[in-house]
Amino acid sequence: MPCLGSKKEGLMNSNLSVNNNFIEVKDFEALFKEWFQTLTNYAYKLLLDQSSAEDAVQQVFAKVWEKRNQLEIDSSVKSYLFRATYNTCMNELKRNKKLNHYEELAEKASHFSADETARSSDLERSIKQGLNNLPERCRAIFVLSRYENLKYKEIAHLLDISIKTVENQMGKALKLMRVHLKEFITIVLTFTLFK
Amino acid sequence: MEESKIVKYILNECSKEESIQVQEWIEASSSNRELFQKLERTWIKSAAIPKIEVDTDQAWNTFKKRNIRSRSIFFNPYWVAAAAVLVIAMLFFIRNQNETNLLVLEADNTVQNVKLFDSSQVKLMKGQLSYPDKLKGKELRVRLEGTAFFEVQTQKNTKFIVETKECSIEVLGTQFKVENLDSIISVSVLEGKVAFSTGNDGILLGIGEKASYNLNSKLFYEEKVSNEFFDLDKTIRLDNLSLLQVAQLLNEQYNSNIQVENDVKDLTITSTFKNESLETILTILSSTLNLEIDKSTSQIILKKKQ
Repeated sequence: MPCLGSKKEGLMNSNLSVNNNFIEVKDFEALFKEWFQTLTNYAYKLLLDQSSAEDAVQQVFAKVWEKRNQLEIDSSVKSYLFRATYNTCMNELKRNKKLNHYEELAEKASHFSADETARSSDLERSIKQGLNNLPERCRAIFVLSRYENLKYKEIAHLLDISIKTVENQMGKALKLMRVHLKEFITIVLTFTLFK
Repeated sequence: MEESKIVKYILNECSKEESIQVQEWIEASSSNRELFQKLERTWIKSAAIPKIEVDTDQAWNTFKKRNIRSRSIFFNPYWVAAAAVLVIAMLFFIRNQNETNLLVLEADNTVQNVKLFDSSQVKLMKGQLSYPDKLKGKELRVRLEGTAFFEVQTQKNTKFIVETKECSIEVLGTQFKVENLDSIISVSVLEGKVAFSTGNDGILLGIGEKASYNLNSKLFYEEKVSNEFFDLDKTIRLDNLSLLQVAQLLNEQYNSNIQVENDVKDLTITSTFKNESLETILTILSSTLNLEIDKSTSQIILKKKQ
């Protein structure tokens, strides 16, 4: 029996209604529209490419739609969707690596198109490069914490890992990010030293 | 101090005890403070990625096109279940329709007439006939133990087959007779064509032809045209028969006692008498062959006209 919408963790509300045990198209549309933007932003920080991110989230929803009547979600819709997006993105990265497209993707990420480069600030570009250089799992954890504002406990639950792992990966992530953001930090630091 | 602990402190994930521990460490030296500040600035600075904007409606349309075909009626399991029940019921119905029952007809002393479902007629003279009540597949197979005359309504794409002992008679024409005599099976064709065969061997029979199969010798014998169908069509067929043979035939059919004198017994005759009395036949024969009919005794004697 599907129990979409039940919440143990109370991460966030969902409008998804369960009607006659079947998910109607309009319910699904509401779910889709509620989460598509958020999930795409998450996927974007993992894949660092907007169209890949949108594709990944489309895949996530396609899978949910396909299995909508057998789906048993024992936590919240949010954690289910984030986990699914994370898995899909990780598979995408693995696949790209296998197809030897990883470098291409990495290049895409570091040398953004002229248009994008023009729009993004130096800081923004550095952050993206930093993210791109984080190991995949480390990146996924960092992104959840930094951009989705999840607590360690929530991240641990979402990715089915221990809180200790989240702690360690977050330490690692900031250490690596610090290298990429060095120039933006030094200025501030100098300022503080003179203070 | 581990960086993960400092980060934990920055993110406000520390317990009170841990917080105090980290604060003490930061105060302990300026390099500690510097590392802490660097990590804190990194955390703050790394937030500066603008959110990407997605056209959700457009994305939904794409999704619908890819994943949701028509309205959800097809995906409603109630409908699927209902359709499945209907399909199963129909299959069951069709299956039942196709289930054939075998009917059995027996004839001991009297001739039994039966019309099969395909309007073919069977005159069962002796023995037993089993036949289906519906067509299953492309063959209509009947089984005969005994003697019967068949008048088959040939259907396109449907074979009519009579099985008897180890032989089968496939109907290519219309009317024929099958006889079982101990170890002999005989088939005579009145109209059309039949294929008379065992698994290995066989013979094609046309109008007026007859063949027998000996179950012991496993051989087919073609026989001369006979008057197998006299009781059906009241027709006497004489195909180059000697007068002696004709007399025997007439005696058989008319239950008469005709004798032929030696000097005329080898005269041959070819003729067909349809629905004629013995009297008429004898008159025609005698005038054709120039014979005299002697009825002075209980016998009928055919002799040369003086």
